[in-house]
Amino acid sequence: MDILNPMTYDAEEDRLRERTKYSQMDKHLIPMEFQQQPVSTGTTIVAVEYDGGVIIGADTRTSSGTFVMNRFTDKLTPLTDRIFCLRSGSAADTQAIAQVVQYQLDFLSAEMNEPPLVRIAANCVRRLIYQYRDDFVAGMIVAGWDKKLGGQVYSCPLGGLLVRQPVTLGGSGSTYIWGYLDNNYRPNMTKQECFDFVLKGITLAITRDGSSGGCARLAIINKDGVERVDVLGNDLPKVFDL
Amino acid sequence: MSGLAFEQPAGGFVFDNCRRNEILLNNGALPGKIHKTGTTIAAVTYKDGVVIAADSRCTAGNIIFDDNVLKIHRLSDNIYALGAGTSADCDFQTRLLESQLELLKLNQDRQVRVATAVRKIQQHLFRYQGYLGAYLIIVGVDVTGSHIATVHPHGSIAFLPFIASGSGGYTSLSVIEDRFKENMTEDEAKQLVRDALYASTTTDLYSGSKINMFVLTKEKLDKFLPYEIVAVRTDKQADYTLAKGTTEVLSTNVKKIEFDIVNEKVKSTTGSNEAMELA
Repeated sequence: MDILNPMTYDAEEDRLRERTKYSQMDKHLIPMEFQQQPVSTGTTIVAVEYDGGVIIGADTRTSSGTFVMNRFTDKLTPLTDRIFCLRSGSAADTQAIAQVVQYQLDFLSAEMNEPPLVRIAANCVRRLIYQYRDDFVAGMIVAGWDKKLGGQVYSCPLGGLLVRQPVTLGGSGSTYIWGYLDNNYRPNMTKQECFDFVLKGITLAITRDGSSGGCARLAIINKDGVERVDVLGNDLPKVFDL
Repeated sequence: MSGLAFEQPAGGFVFDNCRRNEILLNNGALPGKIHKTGTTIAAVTYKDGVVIAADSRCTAGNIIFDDNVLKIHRLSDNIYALGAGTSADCDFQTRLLESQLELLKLNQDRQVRVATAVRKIQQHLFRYQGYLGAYLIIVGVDVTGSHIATVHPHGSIAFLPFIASGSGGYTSLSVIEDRFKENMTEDEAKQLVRDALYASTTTDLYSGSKINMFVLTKEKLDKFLPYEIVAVRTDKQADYTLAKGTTEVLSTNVKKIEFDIVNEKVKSTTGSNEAMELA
């Protein structure tokens, strides 16, 4: 790991391709036309806090190399009633992490007799990613609402970092919208402004990133519950297309 | 305590040969090519249940090894799996899953759910990190409705309304994408899947021969083995049997071969099946 040049989300795709040393043999044994790339959710994921909750969103494309395996994926995976995780990186790794953390939080909420805190959920995810950092390719965002601190967004990227941020992006498509975020995000936006911000961000990333596409799936999480909104392809906000 | 402790073999794969292979590769020794079997498998949900179909060709290089392979595996009375990828892995993993589901069904005294089968095979394949090359489509009808799911060797799953997989999967998928609608009738669904398989069996070299189809609903399981034979073998154009005397006999040599009777077995062809051993 190079300290001066840490891994960015771009590098996710490269890591995924040269998966492990042992499968180098596959290139020689299996004829070219049958070689399949591992399934990745090269993706765009966005999460933002607002007063009273969080708004999260993702695109819906899962690809295997150049082939789109699933054009209506659900990358917003519930960990508990009020806590969701957004998955980017390897589809298999992130699904496995989400399943394990779901179980851990379910067990914890039975022990504590109260719904788990968002920070605890994020820590469970972070712990798994950090422990298997050399094997997993998983960049996840954990966002939700709890009684103690309200709406929170935590970022758990590739190496096993855990950091709370008011707004965060993830996935290969996020590189194209950091500028949009810097220009358009202001603290203390209303719920509708945050929703439009997330939706526009995903749309812009879908327009420019090859690994992101399809529709946009959003969710609004607050104390009253989770409201899921699927914005289909032709309903996405209009972007000037060259 | 002296003496050697018995070493329990560690579970999972042993990768020692991979290092040897890498060294060989670096020294220029080319490995032999493996033979891919190639497949088309497709599944579609319709109003009452699911329609699944697979081709039946197994190839070794350019030769059709087996013309009549069944790529549809039973997991439970209401759950079936279609397998693409390494056929040994598909066969054995589905067989393993089948026995696990049977035990689960007896244990819980209920019909097994599709989601259970999918979760079990997903976690199993994830443990092997993609080395079990089984691209499966798990389909079934249970109390919660009809479902189809695709499972990839690394352990990722997706529940979708229609799926096509295998070397001819892309072709099938484009046919299904064109004509799929929600809540089709059984005939529409069968026709759609048949057309999808027909497209890939005629365009993909590694798929073909027969189209096998199953229709699975809450009440019934219809098996069409085969549903259609895509490339029907035509009759021979001429009579190729040779008349006696075509080959001229130049000389004849009759020799007695000396032999000893080592063991004699008398077997009755009718009635009892027991063989009597003598000497």
